[in-house]
Amino acid sequence: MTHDHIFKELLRVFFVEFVELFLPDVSEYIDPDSISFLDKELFTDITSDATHEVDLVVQAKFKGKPAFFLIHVENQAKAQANFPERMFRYFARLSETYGLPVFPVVIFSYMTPLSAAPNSYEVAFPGMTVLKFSYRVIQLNRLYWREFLDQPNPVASALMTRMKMAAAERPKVKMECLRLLATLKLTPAKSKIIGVFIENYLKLTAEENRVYERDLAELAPEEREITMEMMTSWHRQGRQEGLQEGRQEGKEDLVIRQIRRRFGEVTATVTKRMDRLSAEQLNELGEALFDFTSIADLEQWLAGH
Amino acid sequence: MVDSIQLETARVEGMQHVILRMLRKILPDIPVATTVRLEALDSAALDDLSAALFSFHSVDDVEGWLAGR
Repeated sequence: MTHDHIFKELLRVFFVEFVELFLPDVSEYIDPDSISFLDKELFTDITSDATHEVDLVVQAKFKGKPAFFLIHVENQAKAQANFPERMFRYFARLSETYGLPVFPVVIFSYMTPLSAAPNSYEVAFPGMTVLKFSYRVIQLNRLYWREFLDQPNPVASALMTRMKMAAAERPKVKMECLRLLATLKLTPAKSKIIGVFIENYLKLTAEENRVYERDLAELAPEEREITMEMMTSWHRQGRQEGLQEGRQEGKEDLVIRQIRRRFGEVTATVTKRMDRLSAEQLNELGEALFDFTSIADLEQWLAGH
Repeated sequence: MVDSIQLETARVEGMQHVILRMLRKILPDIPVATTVRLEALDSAALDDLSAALFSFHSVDDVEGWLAGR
């Protein structure tokens, strides 16, 4: 997974917690049960820049009202001169496409520059302001990690890794992130998402790692135990996922080779469809191969599964 | 977290699952004693077996194939 994916997954899985932590005003009026994520593929053409996709668009309902709105969250890993204008373009396209009010948010996750990023885009003439478009800015490198230590919020334990810290504090921040996470007692799958985030966004040098290990060893026994236990559970889970993927790969390989032998080369569309089959469906496809007389039979089978 | 040997074992397991299901489909009476012998096959052997599958008509054919290895 790339950094971008890790960030997106964090926001998707913990969106309510993200709103509670960074958008307390929105958390007053958002109906948390109404949240749905809009498909990112819809926005690939939102700007002329085809390489960039809008990060996350959430549709939600106002609490106690039959009215909806959108929250657009953009994660910016680099400072960019034309960013305010881009943010406005996204706003305009979303507003046009959905006809709903849009709450725009940007998370700046870069380490430098430390100066405050703009939070508006203006179009003005002498004597006339045509547009003043504002958006919410969460600039992590201007927030101090210690102030988030007592937040029982998984998003805090992840994003602390991108906050303002002295170089010497890096091992300490990592340990505190994990300690905070361990106290939250999330399911192993959820805590692993944060764990992966922490590992990727706060990569320690060998020297820093020694400090981190020492700090970890100095935790109170009970805290140390739950923190270590949490990390072991990620490894166990990672192992099981790895083995399952391996079995799946073996099945898919075998079935594809069978198909090639019987019907010749298969199209990319067919292999793509096969990627989506479950382990049991691959077994069934193997059995069904005996009944197929042409590639059309296979395509028909795939269409039905 | 998963090394390459474990991954290969998992892949072979996956291949065995599919082949076993295919064998049982054409030869519902295939004895367990025959099928356990498949567990000893590596991924290249399983691939050969999967090529031979379509010519099997009886448990003897499977036994014969296994004996010929």
